[in-house]
Amino acid sequence: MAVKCIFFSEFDPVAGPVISYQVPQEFPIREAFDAVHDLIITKPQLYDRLISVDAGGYRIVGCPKSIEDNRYARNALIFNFVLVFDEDTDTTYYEPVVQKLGGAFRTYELESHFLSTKSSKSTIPSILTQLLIRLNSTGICIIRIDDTNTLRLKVSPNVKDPPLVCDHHVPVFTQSSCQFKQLVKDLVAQEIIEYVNGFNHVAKISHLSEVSPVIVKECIQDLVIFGFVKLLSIFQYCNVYVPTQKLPQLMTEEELQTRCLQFVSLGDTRPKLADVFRILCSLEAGLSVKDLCFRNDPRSMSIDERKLIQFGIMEGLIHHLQKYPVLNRENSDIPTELQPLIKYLDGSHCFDEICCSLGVSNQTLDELIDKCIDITVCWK
Amino acid sequence: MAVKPQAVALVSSGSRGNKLLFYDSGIAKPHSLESELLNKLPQRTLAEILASCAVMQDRKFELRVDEWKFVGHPFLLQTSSWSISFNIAFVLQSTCSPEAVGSYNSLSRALGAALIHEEHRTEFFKNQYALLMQISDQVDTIDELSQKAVVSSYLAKTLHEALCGLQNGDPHVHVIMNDWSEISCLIHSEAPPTVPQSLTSSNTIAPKSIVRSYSAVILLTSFEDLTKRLPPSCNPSFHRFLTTISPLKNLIQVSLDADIPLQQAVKFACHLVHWGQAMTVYPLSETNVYINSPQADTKRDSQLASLFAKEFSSVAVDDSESLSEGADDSLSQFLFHFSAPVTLSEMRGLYTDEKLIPIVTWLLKHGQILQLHTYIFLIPPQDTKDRGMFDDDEEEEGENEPVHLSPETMANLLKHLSKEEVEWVSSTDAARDKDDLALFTKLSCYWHGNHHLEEILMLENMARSELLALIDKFSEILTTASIPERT
Repeated sequence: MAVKCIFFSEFDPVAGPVISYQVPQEFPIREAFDAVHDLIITKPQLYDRLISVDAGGYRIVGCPKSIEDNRYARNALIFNFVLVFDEDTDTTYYEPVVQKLGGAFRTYELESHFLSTKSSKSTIPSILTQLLIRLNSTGICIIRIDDTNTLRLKVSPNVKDPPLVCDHHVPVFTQSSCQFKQLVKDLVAQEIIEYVNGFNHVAKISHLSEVSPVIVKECIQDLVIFGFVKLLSIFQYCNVYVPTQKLPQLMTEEELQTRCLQFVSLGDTRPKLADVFRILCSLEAGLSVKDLCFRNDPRSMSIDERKLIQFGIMEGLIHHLQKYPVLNRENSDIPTELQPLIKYLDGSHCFDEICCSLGVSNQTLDELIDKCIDITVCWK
Repeated sequence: MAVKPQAVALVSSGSRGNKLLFYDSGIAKPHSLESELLNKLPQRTLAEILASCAVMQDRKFELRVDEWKFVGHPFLLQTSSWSISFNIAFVLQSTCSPEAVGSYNSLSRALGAALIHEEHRTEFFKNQYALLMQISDQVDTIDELSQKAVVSSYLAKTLHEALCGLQNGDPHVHVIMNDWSEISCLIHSEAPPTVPQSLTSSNTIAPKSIVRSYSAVILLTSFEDLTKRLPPSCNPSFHRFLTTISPLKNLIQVSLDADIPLQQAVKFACHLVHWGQAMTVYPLSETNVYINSPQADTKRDSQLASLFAKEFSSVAVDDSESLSEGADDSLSQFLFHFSAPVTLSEMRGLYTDEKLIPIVTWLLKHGQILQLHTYIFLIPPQDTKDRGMFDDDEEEEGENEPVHLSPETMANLLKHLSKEEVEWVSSTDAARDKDDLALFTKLSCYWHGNHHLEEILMLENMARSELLALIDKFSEILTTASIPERT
């Protein structure tokens, strides 16, 4: 339960700043309110600003609103819908909600005197109760205010750096896609869903679904932000993977083990954890998936090596060692066939990316690069 | 990215109302957030909002207004002659991390505590208060206030100094209040500690290193810089420690060479790491294996690459055949060597020690390469019946009678292993050899992958070959993985 309490505070012409309604009613917010009421019912300079302050062990987030009109006592109605959290809660997700809440009621007041009419004002406690329950359960609430107005609020993750989706990324669903198919209403998402299988890369998905790459990328970016999809690298048998520091978790976390065995199994037989772990441990630089299969024959242990690698990457148990070609000097003699490559040779582009943009296979690219001795290939 | 403050404010709340005594935006650019803030929030409002929480004395003060965050620590100062509450608040961008907010709160608290101490000692605050009040009555704008105050008030000057240092990107604050009380504080950056720090921006803090007696210490700042900043009262053995440390020596050797107790050497190392001045690594030795970090900077013309070129411009390749002739000694060239796991002894074929060690140290320091360590895991042998989770055929039985373990061995094994795991041990052939089993039992606490090979060798004082032989004998139930370790 993130939101501990919601209250409606206003400036009373006689008593000054007061809490008119609060849910839950017994919540001990009084003391904190008395300490910081200047920041809840504020001076005009702070109207319409998002204000969050720590007091009495709580974090209080509000957005003071005011309507000037001579029909109010003292010529103004000042009010604030405030959400209360525990101190040190990250409240960034709730800030847009607070801002919208205050703004919505300002509109209702301007349109129908919602806050200054006794009968409508008395519905506020029930609105606050619904808000508190919905915000804490689903994060989405749709409340009918009156015949003409419906208040829609949603707690949404705030995205600082949206993930960059490139042509060579491979999207994969974090949960079963059947479940997702029923839920999703987005038209583009519906189009591309069947091609998102953890093996097709973005450019291929765009090609298969006949949707423009830009739109596919945007859609996948949204799915990543909301946690439905994760981005992987293209799977090839010549790829090289190495274990990460997270690998030991597979031996200790039972939940991870169950998921892993379910995910990587080939057919109906469940593989053994020991086999899975042994294979993942044997990954090392210089050992391609092809070599791995020769050495261990995962299929005989009913392990699908493609799924195994996919699971390892998704959970961060293993890391894909990518090749980055670097041209040592810009003005060296370069065979003409390599000319289109040059802009990718500054060391910030990996093989997957170059192959995808130029439409060549990994092997062809390897052969091309071998032709020029001035190119070194760094793995990382 | 480090969190740089936009401004610092000192407000008081007492018999003369709420007052903004001092406000300084340091070297912040005129068009920064901070000047926008001043346009929108007049001086008096600022004083009021910052002082409005003065009722909550001696508690963390954190207030957010739109995109600004005010972080401080209100104090109530009471002496026999007067009482006043005050708050030194830093203005930050609201997107800064909770760690940064915590650090600024500590800084404000330290400054406030020093101010109270100085008041009791020499009535420092009372004098400064009178002076600042006088100045603020004379001036019209906030710019004038800060300019005049910095010139004539010691307190304002101290706050200005602290602010400017932080705005210049130095995460260490070191100021002296009233020429007497020393305040040292470290502002933690936003960078999550799991990301290897890059020293291109000098203001990031090293990830939390683990300090152990087998660790070597690498300074992140230059030795000269560090010694210059040490206070005159610094412990002389700390100087000895600094001159003795080397990436090749573990703390045990350092403590012997510098003639200081090991415990103290470890504390010195912890201290340096805490203050972001050093990191710890496993001492550089021939058998160490390194590989490129996923964050390694392979971009040809990056900032780090030019830093590298500046530092090691004269490094020549000894064996010119091993590299294409006349190749640049660029960063990406060196990272090329670490594409696959490589030991230092292999690298010695290419470079002499005098060149190799500084370069490897530099790469470690800048998070470009990681050391690979071998970890050991106990896993079920291939044909035991499993824990009911899997249904499998049980054909070959009867032949492999489990080894009978003596009650003593059993008890010792059970100290670190579960009953099930002990069963795996008894099912192996290697357990029939008494000596091997005894050694296996002795080392049983290391079989869950919590310690790397080097650490086990160090703690148990064993030879590498001995441990590797044991792992090989028990290969049915022991598997190893080389995992890059964040040093």
